[in-house]
This record gives sequence, C-alpha cells and structure tokens, in this order.
Amino acid sequence: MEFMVTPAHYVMLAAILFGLGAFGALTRRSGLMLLMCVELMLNAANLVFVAYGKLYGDTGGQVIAFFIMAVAAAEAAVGLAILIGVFRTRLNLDVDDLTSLRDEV
Amino acid sequence: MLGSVLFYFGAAVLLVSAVFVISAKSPMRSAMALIVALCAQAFLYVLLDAAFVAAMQILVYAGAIMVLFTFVIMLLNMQPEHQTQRSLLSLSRLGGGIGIGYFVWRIIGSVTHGEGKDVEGSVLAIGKVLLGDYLFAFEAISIVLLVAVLGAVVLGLKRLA
Repeated sequence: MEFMVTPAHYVMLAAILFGLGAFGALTRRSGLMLLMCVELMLNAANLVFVAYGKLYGDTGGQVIAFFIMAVAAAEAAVGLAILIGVFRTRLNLDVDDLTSLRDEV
Repeated sequence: MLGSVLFYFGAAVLLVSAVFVISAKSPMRSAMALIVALCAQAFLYVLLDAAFVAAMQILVYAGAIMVLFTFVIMLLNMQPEHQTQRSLLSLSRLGGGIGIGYFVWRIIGSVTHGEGKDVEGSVLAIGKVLLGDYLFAFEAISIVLLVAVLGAVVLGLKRLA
C-alpha cells in the first residue's frame, strides 16, 4: 500500500501558505511587504481552485485561476501606484503611521 | 511513488521560500524569495495536470508582476526595515499567530478527501471553457484590468498645483 498524494494534500498546503501570508500581512510594517503577502494569499487561493478542479475533474477550476491572476495583476498595479504616491509625501512606507491618504501629512 | 516525492519536494520549496518572504528584512530579498515561491507553485500546477496555468504563472506572476515589484523597490530605494521592538508587538504577534493557526487547523480538518480525476489542462480545453461558460466573466475581467491601468496612471500623475 503506497502512499498517494490526493488533491486534499494540495488544499492543506494552500491553507498553510495562506496562514503564512496572513501572518506576514499582519506583522510586517512596510507597505510593499503587505502587498507581497497579499500575493502569497492570492496564490494559496489559486492552488485551492486548481486542486479542487482536479478533485472533481472540472476545467473550471483552472479557468478561475486565470481570473485570480488578472485580479492580482490589477491589485499589484493599483497598490504599487498608491505606495509611490504615499512615498512622495511621507518618504517612508510604514503602514502603522499611514492614517490618511490625503496630500497633507 | 514518484508523484508523492515530487509533491513533497515542491511543497518544501514553496513553504521554505514563503517563510523567507515574510521573515527577510530586506524587501529585495523578499521579492526574490517570492519569485522562487511562485516558480515552486508553477511546479505544483504541473503535477495537478494544469500545464497552461503553470506557464501563465511563470509568465504573468513570476514575470510581469514581480518585475513591477522589483522596479518599485529599486525606484524607491527601499532600505531594510529597522527593527523597533514595541512592547505590544510581540503580544499581538502571538495572538495573531494563534488565531491564524486555529484557522489553518480548521481548514485542514474540513478538507474534502478523494482521488483526483483526470482533467484537461491543455490550451484547447481551457479556451473552450473560458470562452463558453465563463464568457461574461472573461469580458468583465478585461474591464477590471482597463480600470486598474487607468487608476494606476491617475495615481501616478504628479498633482498640478
């Protein structure tokens, strides 16, 4: 009886990956690190979709993964533009001090 | 047997690089570790018969999005975070870690078990589903991307006095 890797293993891996990303997003103080941890969490969601697509034999899981990739690209573009705008007025990206998105500090 | 060895290899690379992403002090090192994590995940997609998703993962994520991240890190000349130990920080870290650990444990306990079925991962099969059942979502996501590009340009413009 050899040990089989089933889609459930991938979902468990994705849960751990999501937990790591969420922990990083809560504890890191740089805005850039926050965005990178959000990318990790989105990737965990992607892995779950592809794994369940494999479990049920449905190609739809892979199609949804494409949509998540597109949403991640949009999120990265807008998020990084916001960070550059924040850096222009404050000269750092510390999200703990970031209480307002308006021009005046 | 080979499949499980490959899975555990990919999972180990993914988790180690993910830990490095959230623990590295320098943002550039985090970005490089994130590229390794994304490539390891593309490897796992191949094991799940999703070859085209794996190719897009490399091209879009490890290519385009991470170029954007490294470009911004270099543009802003980001220095490593200075560690200022606040007294509350370790307590909130512990609480957040426990909460997230419980969340992960509940997910792991409620996973649907079962053997994987054969699934088509070719460009042809994905294209048929993408432009068939998901046609409206496909068109809607193009509008999302357009709005994101416009929003990034508007946010990046220097405000005229």
